[in-house]
Amino acid sequence: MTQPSSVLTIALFTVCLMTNGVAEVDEAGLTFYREKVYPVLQTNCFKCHGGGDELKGDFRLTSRAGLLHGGHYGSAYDADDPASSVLLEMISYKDADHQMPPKGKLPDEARLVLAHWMEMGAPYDPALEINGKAVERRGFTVTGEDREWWAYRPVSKEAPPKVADPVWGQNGIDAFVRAQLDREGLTPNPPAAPEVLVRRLYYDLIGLPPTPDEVEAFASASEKDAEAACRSTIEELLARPQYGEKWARHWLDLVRYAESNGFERDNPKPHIWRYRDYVIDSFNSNKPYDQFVIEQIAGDEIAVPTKESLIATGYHRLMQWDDEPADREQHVYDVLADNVQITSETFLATSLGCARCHDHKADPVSQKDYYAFMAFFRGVTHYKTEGTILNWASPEEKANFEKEQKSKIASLEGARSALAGEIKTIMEKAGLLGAASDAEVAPLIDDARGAGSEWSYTTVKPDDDWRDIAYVNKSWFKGMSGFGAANPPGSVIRTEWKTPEIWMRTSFGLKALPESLILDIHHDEDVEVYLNGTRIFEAKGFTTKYKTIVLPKSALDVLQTGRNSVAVYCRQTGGGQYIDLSLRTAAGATGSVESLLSGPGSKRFIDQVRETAGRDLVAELRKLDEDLANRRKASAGMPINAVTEAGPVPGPMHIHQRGSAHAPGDEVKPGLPAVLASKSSDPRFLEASPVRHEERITSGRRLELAKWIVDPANPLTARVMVNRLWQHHFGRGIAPSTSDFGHLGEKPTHPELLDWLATQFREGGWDMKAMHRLILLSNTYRMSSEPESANLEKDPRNLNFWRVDMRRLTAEELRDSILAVSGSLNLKSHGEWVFPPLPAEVLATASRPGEGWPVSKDTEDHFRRSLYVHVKRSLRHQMLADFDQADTDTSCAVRFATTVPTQALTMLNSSFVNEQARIFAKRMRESGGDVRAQIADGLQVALQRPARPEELDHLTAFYESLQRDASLTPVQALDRVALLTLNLNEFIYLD
Amino acid sequence: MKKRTKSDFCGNVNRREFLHTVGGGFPALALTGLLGSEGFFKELKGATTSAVTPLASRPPMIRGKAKSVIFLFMYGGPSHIDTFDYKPGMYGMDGKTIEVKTFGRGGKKNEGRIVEPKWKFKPYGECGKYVSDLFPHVGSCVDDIAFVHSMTADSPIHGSALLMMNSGSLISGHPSLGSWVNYGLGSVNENLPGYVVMLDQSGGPISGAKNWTSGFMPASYQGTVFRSQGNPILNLQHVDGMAAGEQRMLIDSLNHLNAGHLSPRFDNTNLSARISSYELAYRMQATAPEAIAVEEESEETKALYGMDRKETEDFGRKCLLARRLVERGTRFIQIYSGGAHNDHNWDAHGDLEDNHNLHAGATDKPIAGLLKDLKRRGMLEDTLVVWGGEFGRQPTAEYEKGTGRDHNSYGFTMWMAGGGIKGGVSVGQTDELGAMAVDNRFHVKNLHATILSLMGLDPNELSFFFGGLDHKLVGVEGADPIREVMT
Repeated sequence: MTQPSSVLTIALFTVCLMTNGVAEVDEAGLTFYREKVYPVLQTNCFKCHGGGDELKGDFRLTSRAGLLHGGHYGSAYDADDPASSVLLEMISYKDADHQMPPKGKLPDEARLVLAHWMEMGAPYDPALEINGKAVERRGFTVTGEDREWWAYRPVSKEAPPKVADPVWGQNGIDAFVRAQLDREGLTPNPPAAPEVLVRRLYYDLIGLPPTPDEVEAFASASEKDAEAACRSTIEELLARPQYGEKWARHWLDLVRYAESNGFERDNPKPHIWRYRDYVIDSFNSNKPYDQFVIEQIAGDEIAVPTKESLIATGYHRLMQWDDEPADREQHVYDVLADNVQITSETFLATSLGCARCHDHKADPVSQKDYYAFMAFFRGVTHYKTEGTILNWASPEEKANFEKEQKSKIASLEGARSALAGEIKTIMEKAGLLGAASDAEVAPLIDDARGAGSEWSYTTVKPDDDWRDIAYVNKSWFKGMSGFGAANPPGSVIRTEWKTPEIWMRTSFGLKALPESLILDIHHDEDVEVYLNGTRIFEAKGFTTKYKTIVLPKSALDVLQTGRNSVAVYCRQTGGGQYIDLSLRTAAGATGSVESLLSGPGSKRFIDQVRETAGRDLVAELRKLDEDLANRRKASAGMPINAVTEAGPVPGPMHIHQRGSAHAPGDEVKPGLPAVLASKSSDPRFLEASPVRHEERITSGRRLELAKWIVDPANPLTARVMVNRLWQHHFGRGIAPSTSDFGHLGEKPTHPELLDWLATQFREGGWDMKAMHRLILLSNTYRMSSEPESANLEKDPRNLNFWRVDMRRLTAEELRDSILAVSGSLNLKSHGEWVFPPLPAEVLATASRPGEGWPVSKDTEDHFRRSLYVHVKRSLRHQMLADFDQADTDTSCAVRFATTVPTQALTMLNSSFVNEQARIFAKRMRESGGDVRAQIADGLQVALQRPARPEELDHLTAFYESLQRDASLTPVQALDRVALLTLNLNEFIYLD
Repeated sequence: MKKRTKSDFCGNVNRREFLHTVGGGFPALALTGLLGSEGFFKELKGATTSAVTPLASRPPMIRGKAKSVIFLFMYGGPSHIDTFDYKPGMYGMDGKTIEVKTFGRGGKKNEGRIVEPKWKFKPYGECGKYVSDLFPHVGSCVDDIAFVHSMTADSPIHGSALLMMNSGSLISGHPSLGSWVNYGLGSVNENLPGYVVMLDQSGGPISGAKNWTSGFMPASYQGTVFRSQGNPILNLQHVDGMAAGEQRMLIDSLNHLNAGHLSPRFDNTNLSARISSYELAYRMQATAPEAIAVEEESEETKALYGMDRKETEDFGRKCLLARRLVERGTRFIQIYSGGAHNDHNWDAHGDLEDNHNLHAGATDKPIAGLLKDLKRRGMLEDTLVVWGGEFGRQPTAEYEKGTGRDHNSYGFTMWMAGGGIKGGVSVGQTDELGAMAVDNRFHVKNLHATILSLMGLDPNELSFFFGGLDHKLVGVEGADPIREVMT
């Protein structure tokens, strides 16, 4: 705050007088405070501001010192201009975001009292003051002790300890683990049996069970040389494409991968599945982890961006996103905050998110650290409904495409017009169509050939949200359509438009939703039309007359009763220019072919066409419409939903008081958290250089961040990732809270081992497959899971790793395994997401039941691995969700593994499991032999070990009793045996 | 009663430890609960030492009056000035353009054309509360109802506003109110879900399952979608039908083999938990259909809920079913009036009269029936009924023509009855147009705090550790309950 010093002195002087209570205290002021002000404050303000347990906004109003010090918005009293004091602004209720008291505006009388009190210099009666400690905001300092926290200390280079048992001295992991076991008086479990180990290896590396043959091969190889058998199986599995699929899933949990935006429309994120494929490929190709990190955070800013590195930046586009937020500005930062949180938790196991509103309460992370970190992402453009798409194409590809595009559209249009003509002729001949004209349709927005419509428009590029429903465009011009200059053919110009680009908006009202929507448009090169924020039409190139387009159902779906907004963008490069359009609905009964095809009663007309023509001409016409729409949308190259930035210099980044974008505090530069990267208590601020690749210019800030994350001096990155690799092999991390290495997390049980692994990882070139080998070949990993009483007594939670813990299959492993044992599993990898059928009951929970889940036409796609099932935020795959698939709105480092009766209901009764059980039973029957042999075969496939005689006795008896007591046919009875097998604990739990 | 602190909320295990070990530990904990209350395989408890029981019943944190909540969610946003917030000064002002600040899906505006309330109001009950002709039956219950006329929310847009009303946050991923209640109190009847959601026939609300998600809590706390007819719960019956006897044989046989598998793994409580979950599932198959057998109710009762008339049959059945679920120990039931989009719910942008006549017509009698039935059975005392939508509607017209009103989160009405609520009370006020809450304003968080308090949960203490933060339904800053409406 800047104030003339004389005023300040006077103010301080007054305080002095007041607090000392000596000299000439203004008696009138004291009385006024006591009698008028105090009752108002006490009733309405003190509870939260100094009179109770809490101190909201860090603001104390119960003392004069508190008033002068103020809270989050600075001093509440302005001595220079008392009428402008923050306190008076708050109670004025003028600003919707800053209103006090929150329960309701004070009566006029009370507000006058407070205004007068401010004018008087805000005197207090010292006898009524309540002072407290919390007047000062807590300063933020990083202490030496803070820097000594285990996770922030440099990674130790301590060598593995010596252990007495030579078998446990070979592998560093074993040495650390065994030394601790010896210290604690625990005995390591013996090695697991080969059929146990092979099952564990398969699930841990590829998420699928081994076949009986694979089990047998492993068992016999193990007999000769257990270690060699293990080694070759690990190599073989690491080389399978399914390895990347299994491990991609772990990564996707961390980055809360989802394929739709959430909220009202929950639109899909176009092409985002390429990011999922990128993660799969990265694991399969054993991409060094540092490269994997850099590509996701800044794959567009590296020296030579590749298609893959651009796809990797889809990382920034995975969050939930509201296309119609209540508070636009705040939502922009909500999205950034989401990405800050994911980045800090995923790569650094640090919960920065807690410092968004105030300094972190537990960890040495300040609010300044937080916003300095957010500044790395400040230049990232806000997301859009259609995604933020980069096209990957060479210049030749682009040129060829343009040429081809023109001719293809022309030929499709020709074919369409011919077909429409044919329908017209046929129907007129049959006397089923009168010579009606388009005049009978009702316009929602008229074009210039009729009365025209009033539009708001601008020729200066507006904010990104200009096309959204609720966008308010007060400063735009108003004009009647059409817009243009130099009278191109077919134009009716009412408002002059001469600039290269124009953005236009208008709206119309609807009482009821129509059944059809027709667009007539005459446009210059490149036009986009949005209805209620959703793009319903786009075209490249220009037209020479009005064209009629019957809009697809997806356009009808965004209509709403009441007000609908239309937003249009058009650009032109030379010559005469023009843009005009109308929107109308078909009038019905005796309209044109177009309106009859889409209006009310269209079904009858379509039937008539089919009967009259003898073939379904309308279906052919619709196919052409679809082809045309797709063709118009097409662009050169491969579309990639990637990160984009608006230019070299992002806007300023301020600290947000209490996390509110509407309460900006000090400006901060991009910087790294002080406790990790700086010697002071301030973040280490970084300068970034803008990066230019082709037409893309970015700030270069994310690249700086990514480089620091993988910098050898960063103590967290390697620890965090090896801990995750360990976690997914042992069921828990060495540090169990794998995304929180802070004070609220759990400390590592084997800190030296974690550091040793981190060093191996980083010095070995961030080689993930090498870490798998190291871990999986250890004796520690190859132990059995059996309970051993003495150990159980001492260490019931297995904190020291005296055995390997059993684990339940994950949701995806369970579904994939059911498909695998039934023989239905389709191992096709990569590509667009798939839609297996969902129960009607689940679809009915959506606000547009059945929409957004078009079941894949190719039934083979229903049996793809679960990784490829579409991840729609508002409609989850019920079975996967019930078995604790990660929620998609927050990072999930450790999944729950719950056991509840609804899971049993799914496994016993659902159509999916029963269908697979039938297929499994068929497989059993086809394996030949008598029923006992068939059941033996089924058990071996499902449990990956030979069936035991007593199990076969039991299941054969069950099979027979089903026929005897429940009147089932032999086929049905075996179906039930198969169902039972899929429900066995042994099927769903690994030793 | 001793106020329970955070640290011992989860029993004798440190709560962070509990949450960090859930990957392996959670089902073990669940098992203890299942075993403890069910007595199944008691001898198999083995080495379990913890006492945390996610689904089993827990004592409340503070003294609460209510045992169950029935939340009647008027999706789309009913107009408060046409229902319960009487604005006599507005009659005769129809069509007048006035200065008024509004914020809806059409953006922020500073003036608008008044659409006067389209229904007449008249006083009801001893308290003389004015209620519009849309709700004559609810009108007859006003002496049991407390109205909060000064509700505010942070968003006037359906998607985020629904999330806020259901989970306290504009951003999804947070657990919903019913999840918090079940997390805090557990379920009394393990044969039925503790958190039930009944949807409108036209479809779910915007964002579907996000409205009853357990967010970052375990899936065990999520709402179960319950259908009022046919098969109430997904997969409750075998897809092709399976006789109970046959299923019993299957489960017995499964148990036998699972017991064999368990024996050398005696310490693994996850395995025995899974065995008992099949017994619970088996019993749920009998319990749930029995719970929805509203046909066995008397004709008089069915008529009380409006089940004898086509327009009220569906909502009436759901209200009656809600009472039956409360009787069977379900903690939290949410019934949606309205689904899908546009006029399938209370979102009256087009023709206000058509829309509200339709939805009030379908719900007035059933809601009153529910209140009266609960009362005469002595159940209203410990059943909290909540009524309202995600926001209200504006006093002005949305568009140049017509009566449609846009959304309004600056001020709207919700009401509560039973379960520790004072009857015949009205709290807070909107301005003379109903455009904005001006007196004694309350936020959605205050409503949530009220509901939790009445259920015996301290809204400012009930927390769940996730992502480095002790999350609360009412947010880190906390919120007070609306004491003016509590007995």
